[in-house]
Amino acid sequence: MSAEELRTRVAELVGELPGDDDDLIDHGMDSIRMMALAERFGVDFMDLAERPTLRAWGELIRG
Amino acid sequence: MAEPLPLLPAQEGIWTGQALDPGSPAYNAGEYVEIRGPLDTALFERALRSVIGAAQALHATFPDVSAQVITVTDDWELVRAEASGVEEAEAWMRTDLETVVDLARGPLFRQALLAVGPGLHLWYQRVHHIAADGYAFALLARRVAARYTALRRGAGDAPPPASLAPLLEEAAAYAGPSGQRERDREFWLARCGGMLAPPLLAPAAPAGRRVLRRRVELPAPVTPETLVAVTAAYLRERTGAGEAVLGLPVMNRLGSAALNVPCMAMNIVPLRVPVTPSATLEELTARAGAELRATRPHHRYRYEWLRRDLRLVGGDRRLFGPVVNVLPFGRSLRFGEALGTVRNVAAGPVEDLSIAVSTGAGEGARPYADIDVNAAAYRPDELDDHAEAWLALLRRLTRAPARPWRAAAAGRSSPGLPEASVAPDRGPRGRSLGASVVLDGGPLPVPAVPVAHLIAGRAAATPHAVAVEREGRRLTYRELMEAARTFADRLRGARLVAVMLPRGFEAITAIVGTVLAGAAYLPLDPAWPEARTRAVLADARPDALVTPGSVERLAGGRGDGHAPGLAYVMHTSGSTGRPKGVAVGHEALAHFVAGATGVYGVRADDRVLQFAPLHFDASVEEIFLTLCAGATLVLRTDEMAGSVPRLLQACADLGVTVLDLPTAFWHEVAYALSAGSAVLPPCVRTVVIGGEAALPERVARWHAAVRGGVRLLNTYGPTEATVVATVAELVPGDSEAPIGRPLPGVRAAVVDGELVLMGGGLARGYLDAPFPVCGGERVHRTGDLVRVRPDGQLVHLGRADDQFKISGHRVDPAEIESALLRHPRVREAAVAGRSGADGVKHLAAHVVQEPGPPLTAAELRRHLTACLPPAVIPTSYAVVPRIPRTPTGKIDRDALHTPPGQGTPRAAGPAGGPSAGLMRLVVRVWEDVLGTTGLSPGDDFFELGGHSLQAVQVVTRLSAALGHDVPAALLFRHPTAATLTTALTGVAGEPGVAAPEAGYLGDAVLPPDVPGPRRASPARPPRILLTGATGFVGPHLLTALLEATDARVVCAVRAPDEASARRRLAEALAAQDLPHLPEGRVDVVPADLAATPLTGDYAAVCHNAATVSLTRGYASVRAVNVAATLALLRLGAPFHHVSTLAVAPPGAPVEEAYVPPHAGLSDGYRQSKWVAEELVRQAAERGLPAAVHRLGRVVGAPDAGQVNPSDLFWRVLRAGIPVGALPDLDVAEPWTPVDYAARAVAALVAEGATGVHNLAPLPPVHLREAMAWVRDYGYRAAAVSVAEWTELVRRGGAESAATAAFFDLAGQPPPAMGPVRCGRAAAFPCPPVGRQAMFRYLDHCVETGLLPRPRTKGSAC
Repeated sequence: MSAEELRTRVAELVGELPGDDDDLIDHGMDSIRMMALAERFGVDFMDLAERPTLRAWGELIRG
Repeated sequence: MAEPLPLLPAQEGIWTGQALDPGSPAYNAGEYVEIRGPLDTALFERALRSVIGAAQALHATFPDVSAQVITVTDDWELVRAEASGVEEAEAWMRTDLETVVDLARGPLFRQALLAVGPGLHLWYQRVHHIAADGYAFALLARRVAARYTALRRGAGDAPPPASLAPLLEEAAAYAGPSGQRERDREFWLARCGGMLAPPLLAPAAPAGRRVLRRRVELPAPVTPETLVAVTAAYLRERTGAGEAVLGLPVMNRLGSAALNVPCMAMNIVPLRVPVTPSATLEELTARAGAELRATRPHHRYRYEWLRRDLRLVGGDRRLFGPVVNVLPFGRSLRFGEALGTVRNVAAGPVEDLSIAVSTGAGEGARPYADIDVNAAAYRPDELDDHAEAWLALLRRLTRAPARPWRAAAAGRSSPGLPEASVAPDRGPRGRSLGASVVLDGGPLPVPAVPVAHLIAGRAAATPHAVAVEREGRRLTYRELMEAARTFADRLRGARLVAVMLPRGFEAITAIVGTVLAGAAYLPLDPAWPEARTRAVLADARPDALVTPGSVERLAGGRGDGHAPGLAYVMHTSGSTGRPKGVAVGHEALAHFVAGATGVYGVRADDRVLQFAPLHFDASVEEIFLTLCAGATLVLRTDEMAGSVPRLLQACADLGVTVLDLPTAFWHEVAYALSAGSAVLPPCVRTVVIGGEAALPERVARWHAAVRGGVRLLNTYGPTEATVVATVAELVPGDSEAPIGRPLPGVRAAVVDGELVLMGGGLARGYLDAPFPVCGGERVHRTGDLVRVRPDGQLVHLGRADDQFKISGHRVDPAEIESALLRHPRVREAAVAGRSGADGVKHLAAHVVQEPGPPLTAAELRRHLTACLPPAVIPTSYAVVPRIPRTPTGKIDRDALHTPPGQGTPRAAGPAGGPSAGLMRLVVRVWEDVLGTTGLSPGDDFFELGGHSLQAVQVVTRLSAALGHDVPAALLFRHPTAATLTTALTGVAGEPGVAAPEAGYLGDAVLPPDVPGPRRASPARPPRILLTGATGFVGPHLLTALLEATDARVVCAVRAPDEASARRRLAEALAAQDLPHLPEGRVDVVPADLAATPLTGDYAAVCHNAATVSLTRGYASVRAVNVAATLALLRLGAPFHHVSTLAVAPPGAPVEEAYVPPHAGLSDGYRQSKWVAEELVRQAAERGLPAAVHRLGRVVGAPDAGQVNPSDLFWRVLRAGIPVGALPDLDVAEPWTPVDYAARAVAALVAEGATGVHNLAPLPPVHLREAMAWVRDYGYRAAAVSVAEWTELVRRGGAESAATAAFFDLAGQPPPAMGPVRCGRAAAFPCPPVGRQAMFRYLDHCVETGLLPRPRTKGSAC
């Protein structure tokens, strides 16, 4: 699971590529989409929900 | 004891539910975490206590529904016990869950740690639903796990208190004048109004105290959409209902402070999912997804509120059937070396049936579903049956998702029959189109061939057939082609040809000739008032003008600047009254002809009446469908439309076979036929109607009077959709008059009840404003509300903007009119909403009656009471000789009024008093000036469309008639005839009559010597004049103009000499970290705009300079904001004026149009900016290409973080943060990032845009929310009332005192700005402004010393 795949997947879900530190909720990320990502990347939904930025999610996936 | 807090909306629902059955334990929720591995139980208890201590919601008690008191205590017991096994432990838990909780006393929770053999502990929590939802449980479990793990490592701080305060603030903001709650309410009412009772799997029973549960393992994880789809199909299978209404729990936390607060916040939203037997699981899933997307922005609206709104409270009434949920929170937890797995025991009360899917955790875990039912409604064996059958359906459908679900469920193959025209959303992807259903007219039956080719083909095939006929004269196809070709030659390359000809051969020849020449025609009605003709010409800028016997080349045409490939441009009257040009391409016209010819059944032997005026697009249908089919176009004369019998006699004489009529006229025809005063000629075989909603009552009359075999086609289509988009054949026995299905080649989506059109038949858009493109195709939102019938036909429900609300009820005038018409003695009816002088809305009915004794209001009211709900029964009734209609024959609702003396008694008015004569004078003067009749005392001059010049005319005439001076300000302050009359009676004695406001209106007239566009040989390279380059927006705008154009930019800078002007400019750029200026592209001229006029030829003027002052009066800002604008307009160059959204009237939607003066222009700044716009508008009327760009509150570029220290928001922070208090400003306002504003304006300058552009693409920012971000950043600042705050900061230095003075002057904050339309400017990318951006702004403030450093800095996430 690479950071690049994460960016691609997020961009697909919200229809644009957010900046690394953008609040993804501002970009239209919702809990349903977030859940799909959590499943795909094998991370916890709540970890995603707590810090909804590409940078934070990238760290989660690497961690 | 702590201060009582209000309840969160979600808590109120639970409180009420518990209060209805105080002895019920059903609101207890329980979960346990199975902890495997070594556990230090003492350490665990420490971790648990610190987490529970921080969770304030758990420590609340509720004296009543209006208050909760939080008393955090560590004085609670962690039950420690041993159990022989998990089963015994679970039994203990189930017993504990029977505990009845007294909300007034607490405690709301219980904690237990049960040891079950070596290395296995069960940590159990029971929490009342008022304090926790599923997310809260998960949050608590995670925190305890994290805290325990940290303590094991000997690290970590105790968690900070999770307070309810920010959530309460959010709830207040939501319910407040942000209007979001009201908007959400309207959304849900529109979506669920008229919904049938949701199908249930068992008869509805009262909410019981007991819940039965079955757990089933699932073959694979499911998404929420799939779960919804399968369950909806299951309901269809079990109940036969065509639509399932499922409840979907939503966590309601993203983007909210609740993300970090264990509390009750979740909501349940109703999802409507239509299920047809041949839909596939994939299609059902897509439908569910579209429904989710469409409802998502409105998920905060509580379902308890919606039930109340829909009168679905109590008894067996239900808002939704089964509840389905996928729990996103269930993964394993680490407690040091031990591993925890979460198990739910009880999830709270179940009204009917609930299916909750968990992903499962741990090695080899499978997802499972807990199926809970209300034990009062289902027996255990019924539950087993449903659980088994539901699971079986899920297995079968997920194995064959592309097969019709019914077939998949039965294990058979597809019968191969396509579904009716209702298809799942295959529409363009993207959030803007969360369509629940797309109707597809199917492919075109024949290729779309340009009409010029088709007509030429007809002329070649049947040259001697009659193409056009009028009063016995005939033009054959060959003659028509020859005349049209000759005409085309005279156009000599004109791209847009204005045709101002009466109906006749010459007009048809000119239209066909223009199309043959590959040009577009612009029909102008010779009967239009000159002002309208001028406005249309100025808007469209055609290259040639055709009048009888003449083709004149026009200067000022766009020539090749016109979009290529257009067929015609037609102007509609927009809601603002300004004509809007709709540009239709040849491709769309060909598309329409290919789609409609077959549906209408037009043949070469038809004779089609040309009825419509040529500037209505119904004429396009008549002319081109006829000529492309090789049929004969029969031109009507004016006399023919004089009466129904005369028209029908003429049709008989002329052998007309296809009659195309405006619906309003057809209503008369239907009436006359049923009354026996006219007869439909036998030659007529098809009647096509359109233009407004057909009345079912008239359709019934028609069918009763007309023999079978005559087709009646009801068409619907805005000009923007190229004549017609949907067609219905109206048949006897249908109680409605549907508008049918899309024409072939047309697709329609119903989005939030509104009809959205797509497909190749759409116009290109408006001149200068093409339609948005979505997923590669054009999309047009019609503003028409529709419903899809089960047979796939659309029913028109009215205009979104015609509807209004009376006491919270959505009212559609057409519905009431229809009911009035069912009265045997009502012939015509019209209903309008009116705001009374007291601001209370009421409905007024106007009827034309049959001959006989006069109808009374009581009689009409009695009639309506029998068929309508009380709230929509009009309060006043008037019998009138005729119903006012627009030129197109539609009811002119604006012209409706309640005549005095009719209907409900008015508030004591001067009608009969001593000032009755004065009132009559006022009304008469208004009528003269506004050019209307029948005004009433309660009418508002400005709502009637009065503008500043007319206001001046009114006061001039009144002054002359009364013999004393009447200031214009009086009219602005007292805009209704009644209030103005009252004011005038006191005017002699009123001091200070020459009110200062009068001054600004006097400036709002462009002097006659200001010329239109100057003809100049533009300099090379072109030069753009920019003012205000040294302000906050200016440097960005300068940079953006240099990027977007090749022009030299001349900056007019207020300075004594060029050197200091340059220095000021350089400083302004540096202050915002903008790059240095490129060599040779920027000229700086020292100038005082208001004092010394500039000269020179510019490719464009970009006027950005303005004095922004919160406290200065009009006179003091007039020089820069008004006089300079006037001086720059005199340059005669294309004009771009940077304005502000603050000129818009508060409360009303902010359209992209100029606004008349209004009472909201309350300070000098707004007045001056409004006057400037008004000058620009008048210059545009004189032909100057001019655009206004309105900005919201300008904030820094979000990624750079600069702020404008003189902006009010930052002044408030600078004054408030040092004293630890911020004003509680309950205002939402648009914010415009400066980098976006600059890019957008520069791009609009570069493309030569005209008109009004609102540069507000972002949702409005609520200042309470913005202040919450400031607190999140780490500033401690209490929210205090504005009055308190002003007193607090007044002593904080000159700067703070000035800010305080603004609030002193402003008094009450103005009503919030209405929704802002942002059309063209929404196309430019705009960074979001949210918490993150705020943190960067604040970082910048700290770095530059504007604000002190906060004690502890929060995280932006």
